[in-house]
Amino acid sequence: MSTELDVRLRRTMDAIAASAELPDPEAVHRIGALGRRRRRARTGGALALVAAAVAAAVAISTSGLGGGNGPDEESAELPAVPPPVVVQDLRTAQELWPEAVLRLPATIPVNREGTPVGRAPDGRYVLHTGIKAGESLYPVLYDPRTRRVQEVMRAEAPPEGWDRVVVQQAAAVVGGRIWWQRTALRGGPEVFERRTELWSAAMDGGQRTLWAVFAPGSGLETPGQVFGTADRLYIQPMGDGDRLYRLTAPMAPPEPVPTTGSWWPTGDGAWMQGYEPPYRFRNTFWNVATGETVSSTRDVKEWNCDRELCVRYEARGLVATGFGADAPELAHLPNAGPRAPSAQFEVVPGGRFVYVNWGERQQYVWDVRTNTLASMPEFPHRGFRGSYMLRAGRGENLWLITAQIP
Amino acid sequence: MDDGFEAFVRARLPALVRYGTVLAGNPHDGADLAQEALVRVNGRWARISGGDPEAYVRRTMARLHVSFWRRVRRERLSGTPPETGYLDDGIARADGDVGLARALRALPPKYRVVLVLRYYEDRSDPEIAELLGISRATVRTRAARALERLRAADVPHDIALAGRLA
Repeated sequence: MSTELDVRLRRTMDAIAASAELPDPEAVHRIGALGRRRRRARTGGALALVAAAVAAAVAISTSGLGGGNGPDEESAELPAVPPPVVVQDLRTAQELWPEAVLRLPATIPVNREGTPVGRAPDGRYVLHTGIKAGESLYPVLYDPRTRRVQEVMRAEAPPEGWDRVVVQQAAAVVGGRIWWQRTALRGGPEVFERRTELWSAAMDGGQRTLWAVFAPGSGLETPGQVFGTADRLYIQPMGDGDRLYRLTAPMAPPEPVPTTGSWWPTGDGAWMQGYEPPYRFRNTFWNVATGETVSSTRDVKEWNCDRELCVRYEARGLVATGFGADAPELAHLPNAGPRAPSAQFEVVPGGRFVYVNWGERQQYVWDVRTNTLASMPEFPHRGFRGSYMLRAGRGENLWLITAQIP
Repeated sequence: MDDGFEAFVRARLPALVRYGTVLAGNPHDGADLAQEALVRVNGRWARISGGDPEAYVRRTMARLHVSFWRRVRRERLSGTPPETGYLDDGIARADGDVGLARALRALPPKYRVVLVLRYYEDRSDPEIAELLGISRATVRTRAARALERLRAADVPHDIALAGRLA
């Protein structure tokens, strides 16, 4: 017998399928061309040269650990394209940068899963603790030395006239403070009305402050993204790159910031990147706090930026730079061969590490400060806002946290 | 390109892209998934064309989806993907549940693929187990955990959008 959720799932999956953009007629030829290119690549002898180029460009240590040669279970029947980059014997991020790795119990003492989003000056970590229905989960401060947890806010009754409260936006550290948003709901099941409160606290968990209350119809009642600096804080409504507001003081009405076109925050800081809906980031950056704009005329295939670091994928490979008009090139990872256009990369928040993937078993952490690669033998789980999970264990998870390094 | 393969792609690509979109949670990755699977299958066309090539492609897509390179697509938990509103508009227009669609997108791929095979492809648990190369018990466990997560996250996230479309 089907449950109500079964019915909704079927209907929703049909709707997702119906929302697909159907391919243009040229897609057939592109698929054929891609197949031919890959077949040539498989038989080409250039791969060793590519590997040598990459190996020469990065410092490689030789601990005997290899990230790229393990069996691929998922592709057992469908062998993957031979990897273009054969960087062997790399050490792991845990070995190379132990100071950047946090071992966090899979379940922290308040019986929740925690994800680090920042580090407090006293050595504790700010953890986002997820969302559960009917339960309000707030940021916590976790001390790895004592394994003790301090709750920044406890579950409270919903405001009068509201049915329940959920914390819907991940905790974040912006401008040296912890931020979170909690939303009160009423009505349902088809249509809920919501009211969202924006809260912050000092990095020791004190000075808890209600910064704003976004009423139904305000446009900000669905939690948005908070970013900026200690002096200039901004909030962007969820999924709306055309609107931006400045938060000037606790409980002061948010001030609209005039913008032209779509802009998205690159991280928790003040830099935003231009966006061309629906999928393409523009080569233009804007520091909303200072007004500085930076444009690039390079042919960039893909960008990924965070508060302090931008990585672009261009013809010669991955290039890491800072922001600003005269930002120097920090590091360069040479183009990795015919498979490179499908390379995935992502800046680990914090301005030092970049996650790079060149294929199903070719995953690395790239330290742009030293231009060093580390292997990532295991499937990396996603982190957010300041961390990246290196390994998920039964009782303990390993997180890469740039903020931990002085 | 083999004539038979080209004809197959022309005829079945739209359906495969739709399937990929449900698997991946968004049309961009869905099209990518279909394309990647077809590129891989192209090289083996002579061997598989005598059987059921579409089933083969779909199986490849499901496996690709849970394989590593799919996982590293941008699925960060923070913020809101720029295209979310755009996606949700399309889903709402097709009478889908936007909140549920978002919760589905947030599931780890290994959980999502089990639900997609069960509810979109109407596959039985033994079929899913065979297709993904996992045990039936694992299928049941993943499905149960996925449904548990969906129930836990079952809060409409974008009332503003719902109101706008009403």
